[in-house]
Amino acid sequence: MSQEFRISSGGLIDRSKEISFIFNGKKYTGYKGDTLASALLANGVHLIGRSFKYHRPRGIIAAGVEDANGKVQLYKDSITEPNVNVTEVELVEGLRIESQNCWPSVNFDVGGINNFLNRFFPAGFYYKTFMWPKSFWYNVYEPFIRKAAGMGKASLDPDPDRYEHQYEHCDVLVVGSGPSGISSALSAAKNGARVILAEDKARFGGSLLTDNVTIGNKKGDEWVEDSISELKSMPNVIVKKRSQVFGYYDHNMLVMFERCKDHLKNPEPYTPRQRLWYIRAKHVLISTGSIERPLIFANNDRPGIMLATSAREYLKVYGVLPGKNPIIFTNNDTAYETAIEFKANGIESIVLDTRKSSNAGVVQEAKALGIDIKFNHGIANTSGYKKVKSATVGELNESKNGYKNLTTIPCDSIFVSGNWTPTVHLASQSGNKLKYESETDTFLPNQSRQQETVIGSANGSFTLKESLTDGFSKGYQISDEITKNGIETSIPISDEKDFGSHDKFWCMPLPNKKHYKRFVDFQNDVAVSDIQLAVREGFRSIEHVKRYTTLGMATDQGKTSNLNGLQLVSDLEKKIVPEVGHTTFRPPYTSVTIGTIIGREVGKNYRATRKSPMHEWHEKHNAVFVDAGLWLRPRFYKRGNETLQEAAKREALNVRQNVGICDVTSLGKIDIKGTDSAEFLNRVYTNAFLKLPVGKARYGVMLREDGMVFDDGTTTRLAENHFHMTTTTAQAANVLSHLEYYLQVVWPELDVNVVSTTEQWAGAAIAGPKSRELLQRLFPEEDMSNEGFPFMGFKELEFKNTIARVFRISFSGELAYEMNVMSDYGEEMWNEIISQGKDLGIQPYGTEALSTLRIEMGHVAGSEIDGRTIAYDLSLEGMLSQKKDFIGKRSLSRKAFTEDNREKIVGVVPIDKKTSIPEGSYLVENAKAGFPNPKLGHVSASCWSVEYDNPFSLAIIKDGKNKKGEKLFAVSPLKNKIIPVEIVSQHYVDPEGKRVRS
Amino acid sequence: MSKITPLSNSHELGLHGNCKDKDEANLLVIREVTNIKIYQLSKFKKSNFDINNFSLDGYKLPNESGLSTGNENLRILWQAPNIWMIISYNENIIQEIGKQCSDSDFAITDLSHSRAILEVKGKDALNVIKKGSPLNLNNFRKNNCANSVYHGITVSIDMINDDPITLNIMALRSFAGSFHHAITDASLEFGFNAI
Repeated sequence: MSQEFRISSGGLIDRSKEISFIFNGKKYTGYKGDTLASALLANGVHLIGRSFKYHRPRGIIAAGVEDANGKVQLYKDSITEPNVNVTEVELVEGLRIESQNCWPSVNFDVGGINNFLNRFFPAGFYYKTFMWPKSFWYNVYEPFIRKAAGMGKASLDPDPDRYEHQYEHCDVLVVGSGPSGISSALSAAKNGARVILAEDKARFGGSLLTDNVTIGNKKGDEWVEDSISELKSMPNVIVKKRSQVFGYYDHNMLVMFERCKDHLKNPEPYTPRQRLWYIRAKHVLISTGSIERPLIFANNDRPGIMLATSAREYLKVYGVLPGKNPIIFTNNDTAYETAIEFKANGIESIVLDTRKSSNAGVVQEAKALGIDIKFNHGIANTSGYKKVKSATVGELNESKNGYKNLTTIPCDSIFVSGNWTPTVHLASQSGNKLKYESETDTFLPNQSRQQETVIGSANGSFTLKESLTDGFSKGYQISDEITKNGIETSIPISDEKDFGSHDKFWCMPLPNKKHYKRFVDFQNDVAVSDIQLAVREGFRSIEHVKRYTTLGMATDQGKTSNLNGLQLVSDLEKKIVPEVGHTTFRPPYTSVTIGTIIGREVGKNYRATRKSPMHEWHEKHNAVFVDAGLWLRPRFYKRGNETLQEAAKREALNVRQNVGICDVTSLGKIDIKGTDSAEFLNRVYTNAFLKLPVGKARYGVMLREDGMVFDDGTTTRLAENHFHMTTTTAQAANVLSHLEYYLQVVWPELDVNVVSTTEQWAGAAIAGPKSRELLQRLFPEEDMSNEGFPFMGFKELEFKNTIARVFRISFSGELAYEMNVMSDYGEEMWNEIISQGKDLGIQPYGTEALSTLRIEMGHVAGSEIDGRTIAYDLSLEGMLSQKKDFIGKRSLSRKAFTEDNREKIVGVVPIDKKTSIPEGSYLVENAKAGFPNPKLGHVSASCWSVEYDNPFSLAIIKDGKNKKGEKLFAVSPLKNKIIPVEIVSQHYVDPEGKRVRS
Repeated sequence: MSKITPLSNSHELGLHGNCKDKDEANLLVIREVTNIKIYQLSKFKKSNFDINNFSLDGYKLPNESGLSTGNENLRILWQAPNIWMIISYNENIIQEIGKQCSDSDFAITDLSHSRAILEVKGKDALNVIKKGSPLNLNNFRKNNCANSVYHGITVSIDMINDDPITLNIMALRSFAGSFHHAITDASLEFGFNAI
C-alpha cells in the first residue's frame, strides 16, 4: 500500500527517508519523523486492535499519550514488548507490530462474540457471576479469568537492553514545551536560573505545531524552533525531548523517563534504551497542557472516530489525512480549526455543532470558507464494523434529550471535540487540592502543597496570549526568587484566532428505544450504561464507581474519560461535579517499563557485595559462599561430591584434631584512641576495662539501654590510650554508630576517637591443637609458648617486612590465634600460613564449620544475641560488673529480668543421638498436648558434634538452669518433626575451657 | 611481601564501551590509584592545637564542609568537624604529619589499605557520578569533596582538577569489586580507557 492518505507536501516529516515496517504480517512504509500511528493512518489503517472486554474493533483516537486504544505488541530485533502505544513509538527500520487481544486475527476475532453478548457483561458482572458452585473457582473460573485477563504478551527472555538512572538538580523544572512551557523556560533561564525543560514528544512546541498563530511576527512553529535553539545554547539549561515526567513526589522530587534509543537507526551498543531521571527541583512549572475530551454518543468507539485536534495534528505534523470524508462533531469552537485545515488541503467536511450558534471568529472563518455547518445537531449513532461508514445525525430537540429527525450521512471518519481537560495529574500528585471551574467544566489546580506552579492551559489559560503571559511572568517571578538577578524578559506580541465558550452538553441521547453502547472509557470498555448501573446499585463515591466499573483505571488512567465520567455521575446523582469530587491521580502518568525503573541494578549491580582480600583464593579453592550481610564469606570448601554437612564435619574435625584457618576479615574492627578511651570502654562494656594491661585482650559484652545484649567481642589494649575493638560481622556498623552516639550525645566530655579499621586489616583465625606449632613456624624468633604468649595475649610482630597483629583468642574453643596484616598483604599472609601448615594438616574452614565449633563449645553468636536476650539468658551474668556502671545496667533490675525462672541457654541432644534438630524448633514437655501447647523455649542453633559424632543444639528455654537432665520434645511444624530430646549443659565440649588455655 | 591492590583483579586495561570512532582524547580515562598512604586525622576535643599551624606541602587543613585541597600528589579532604583525610603518594607522609602534631592532639589512623580508589578523568566524569549518586553536582568544583553513596556503596568524591575534570572516587576496600563494576559499567555509555 502506498501511503494513499499522505498529502503530497507539508508536515514535519523527512520524506527523503522512507522506512518500512510490518503490521500484522503486512509490510507498510512511512517516513522518518512518523509515529507508528501516523504511518498506519497514512496507509489507511485504522483498525489497530480489539477492546479489552467486548473485543470491539478499535482504532486510533488521539495523537499522543492520551490515546486509549492504540496498544500493540511490538517486536524489534529479538525483543518484544506488549501494550505499546502506537502514538508514542517513532518509526524506525525493522519494527514489527501485531494487534493485541484478538484471535486468530484483528479482522476476525473469536472474542468478538462478547460484543454480541454484551448485555450479559455489564459493570461488575464478575463480582456476581463466578460465585457458584464453589468448587469451580480454582478449576474453572480462575484459570479462565487468568487466561482472559491482560493484554499482550510479556517476553519470557531477559531484557537485552541497558537502562540508566540519572540524578539531576535544578532551580526550575518546566514540564511541557507548549507556549507556556517554552516561555517560562526562556524567562527563567534568562534570569540565570538553572532550568530543565522536558517534553514528552519527539518535537517541542505542543499546540504551537498545529495552531495557526504568530508570536512576535513569527509563525508558532518558527518561534518554537528559535526559542529551543536559544535555550539549548544556554549553559544553565537542559532541554530534553522524548522525556515524560511521570511522577511527582515529596520534597519536589520528580521522576522522568527519557526514551534514548528506540528512535535511533543504529544506536551505539551501550546507549541505554531509556533513562530514568530523578530530578530535585527548587520549583516546578507544570505546563502540561490539556487534553481534548471526546463526545459521548452511540457507538462512538469505531475505528475512524478520533479527537478533532489530533486529526489536525496528523495533518499538520505528519502530512496525513485521517479521513477524506470526515464529519466534525463538536460542542465548542476549537474543532472548527480542524475543518478549516482540512478544507485548506482540499477535504470537505460537515461540522455538527451541539450549540445553537457561535459568533467566534474561527466559526465565521469556517462559514466564509463555505464549510457545511449544522448547529444544534448531534450524532445519534454510527455504523461500520471495522471502520466507521456513516453517522446517524439529527437536530436536537429543545430539551436535548432526543432528536427532531434523524438522517444518515456517509463518512469515513468522525472528528470529535467535547472541550478540554487540563492535565493536572502532576499537580495533583504533588498534593495540590484541585478546584472545579464550572465555566469550563474542568478541575484546576488550586492550592499548592509543594513548590509547584501550574501554568498555561493546564491551569485553565486556554488562549495563546494568556499562556504566554502566564509563562513569561511566572518564569520570571519564580526564577527571581532563586537568583535575585532581576532580569525580566518582555512578552512578545501574539496573534491567534478568536474562540468562544463551549456547550455544557456532551452526552448525546440514544435514538428512541435503542440500547447502543455509548463509551466513556475506551480502554476499559466502560459505557454510560455501566455507570448508570453502578449508581443504581448504590455506589455513590466516585472512587467506588471507579472500581466497580473500572472507569479511569489501567494504563490510560482516565486521560480522556475521567471528566466525562464525573459529569455523568454528577448528573445521575443530581449533584454538582465538585460534590462528586475526583478520583486520585497516581504516578506513573504513563506506562513506564520495568527496565527503566530497575536501571542498571541487575546482574553484578543488583546488590553490592563485600569481599575479603583473600576472596580470590577462596574462589580458586572451591569455596561455596554465604551472605553475611553484604559480605560474601566461605561457607565451606567443597571437595569432590561432598555435601555441606560432610564438608563442615570434615573441616570442623580437622580443627579439633589438627589445625584450621578461617577468614575472619569481616569481623568489625574499631580503632579507639584518646585519653578517656579506657573510661569509655568501661562504660560501654558490662565488665571492667579500666585496668586491662597493655598487650592484653579481654572479652566484653555490650548491652543496649533496655538491658538486652547488643554485641560481644574482644578488645585489646595496644597502648595506654589505644585500643583495638572487634565486633561481630553483623553488628560492626551498628556498634560503631552506638559508640559515636554515646561520644557525641551522651558523654561529649570524653575525649575519645573511634574509627572503623575493618577494611584496613585482613584477618585469619588459626585454630586447633597444632596452631601453636604453626605460629612458631611463622614467627620463629618469638616465644609462642603458653607462658610466652598466654591466652588473651597480644603481640605486634614483624611478618615478612610488614607488621602483623597476633591475638591469642578463640571462638572455636580450641587453642587458637587471630592474625591480622594490612589488607594488601592479606592473600600473601594466607598463602604463607597454608604453606607453613601443610604438613600439620592445615585446612581452611568456612562459617559452617565455625558454627559447629562454637555451638559445641556453647559460645553464643547472632542466633542467641537476637535482641531478645539478656546476659543471664546467655549465661553471661558473670560478665556483669557489680562495681561499676555500664550502659543498660539499670534496666537489668526490672522485675521480668530478675525472675528465677527466666530463660537460660542450654544444650539439647536428641535421645536417639541420630536425629538432627531443626533450628527454630520449639521445646515442649508434652508433644501430644493440644493447642496451645505451652512452649518452653526454642532451639537457636544446631550442628553435628564432631567431638561426639551426634547432633547437638543450643536452646534458650524457660527456667533453663533447672532443666538439665530433663526429657523434652523438640517440635518443628515446618519440618513436621517431633524429636525426643534431653537437656544438657550448653558447654558440650571442654566445659572447663582447658583447650583455649593450653 | 607483595601487595595485591583492591582492584588488581577487577581493573582490566584497555578501551571499553562506546569508543568506536571516538577521539581517544575525548574518552574517559579510569585508573586505580595505588601505592598511596591514607591517614585520618581526628583532632581531640580537648586539644588546643591551632590547625592553622598545620600544613603539608604548603597546604593547610580545610576547615569548611565539602572542601579539599592539595595537588596531584597530596590531597587533604575535610571529612567532618575536626576530622580530615590525608591522601599522599609520599611514603613518609606520616613522619611529616608527626613533626607537626602529636598523639595527644590528634588521633592519627592509618587507613592506607582500607580504600579502593578510582581516578576518573574526562568531560563526562560528573555524568558517571550522576548515574549512581544523588549528590548535587551543580556547584561541585575543583577542590570540592563530598561523601555520598554510589549504587548503594558509600563513597567519597574529591575533584582534584576541573580541566579536564578529574575525580578521585573512594570506597571501602571490601566493596572494591562492586564499586569498580558500578563505575566502569556506568562509563560504558561514554567509552573509557582503563589505564
